[in-house]
Amino acid sequence: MSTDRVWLVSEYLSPDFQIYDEQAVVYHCGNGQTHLLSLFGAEVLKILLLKPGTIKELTIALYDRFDDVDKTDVEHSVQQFLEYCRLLDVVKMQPDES
Amino acid sequence: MRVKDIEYEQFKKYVSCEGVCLKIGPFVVNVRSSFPLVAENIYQLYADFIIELNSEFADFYVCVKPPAGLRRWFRPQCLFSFDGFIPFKPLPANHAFVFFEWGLNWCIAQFAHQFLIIHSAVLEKNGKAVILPGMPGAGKSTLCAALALDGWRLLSDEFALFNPEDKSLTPIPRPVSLKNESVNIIKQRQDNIIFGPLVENTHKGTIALMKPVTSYVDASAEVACPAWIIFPEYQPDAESSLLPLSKGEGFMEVKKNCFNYDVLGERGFRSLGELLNLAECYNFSYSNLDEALNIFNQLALEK
Repeated sequence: MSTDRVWLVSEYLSPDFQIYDEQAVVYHCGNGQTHLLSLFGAEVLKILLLKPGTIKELTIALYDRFDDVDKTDVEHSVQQFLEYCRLLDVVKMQPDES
Repeated sequence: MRVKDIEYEQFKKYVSCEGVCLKIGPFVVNVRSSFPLVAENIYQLYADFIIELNSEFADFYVCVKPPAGLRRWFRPQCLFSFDGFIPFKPLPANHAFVFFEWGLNWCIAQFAHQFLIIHSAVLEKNGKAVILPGMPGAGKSTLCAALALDGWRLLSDEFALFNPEDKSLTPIPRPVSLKNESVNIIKQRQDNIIFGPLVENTHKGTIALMKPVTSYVDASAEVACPAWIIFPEYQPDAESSLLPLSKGEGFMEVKKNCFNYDVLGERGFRSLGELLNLAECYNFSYSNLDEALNIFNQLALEK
């Protein structure tokens, strides 16, 4: 997966996340599915909601929010999470305009 | 006027002819039935409910009637109808009253979408309500009956009606449906409990309905604030344990017990989110009702 592509939140995702201590619940308005996410996943989505970004940009933003994570794994975790969310139609890649 | 304020013969006549309009929680229900069993049980178990003899409107028009043909006489059966529509297959005639109860449950679950409807018992103490969602067999009704006999106000044995507008739970304190061994367990706890007759061989086993205390019916208009969502599970010989559950997992568990989450769509998601913001979630396993009551009473004191 290219790390240069820009990711954004699907237009079907309800903006009313329910964020609890260490988890988040999100709702897909298109298919009616509800998903329970880790706080890490919720943070990725929150960042994307503010501004679409590449995996690299997301990784940098997440460094600041999770001090205690193994930073070498963050990029890989973001990649995995985005791929998972893409299958659920929670996030998508911005069309490549080049 | 309450049901008990009318002579029984007169009441039976109303039920069998034009039907009676009962105020049941936030709903007006017009009940009509030619089965004396239905009138008898309503007269006994809904004695404290308000009856509106000249009401021109009811939320639900329900009827329990015999089917046409031989089944009126040979192995007699009963049918439940709602606004003339018959949603279920017939049941044996001696199930007529519980068919009314189940049919009314169906009406509420299918149509009362002003609420987020959760399959659960709801009780209140010191102004705070506990929601007890549970699949059949989890011990929800038994625990609910025991709590109601111990001073917790019964809001419902069957539904949490969460109103997202004011973030409250609307009471609908109908008779508590107890099954199989639970009937005797609850009967033994107090002498003055009024039960309807045992109904045997239903698809849920043997059933008896416990009349709600008058004061709970009188408080039908007093909404309650949700404070706890507790998932009960009866486990033989288990020690009682109340373990916190994360709100995220609680959300997903409550969702499974919602009747109309999918119908409400995004509004259901937001409503459930509002509810979870107000209530702490727990898993609760128990085998001893007295231990369970102690834990709940302690919880009510702490909050």
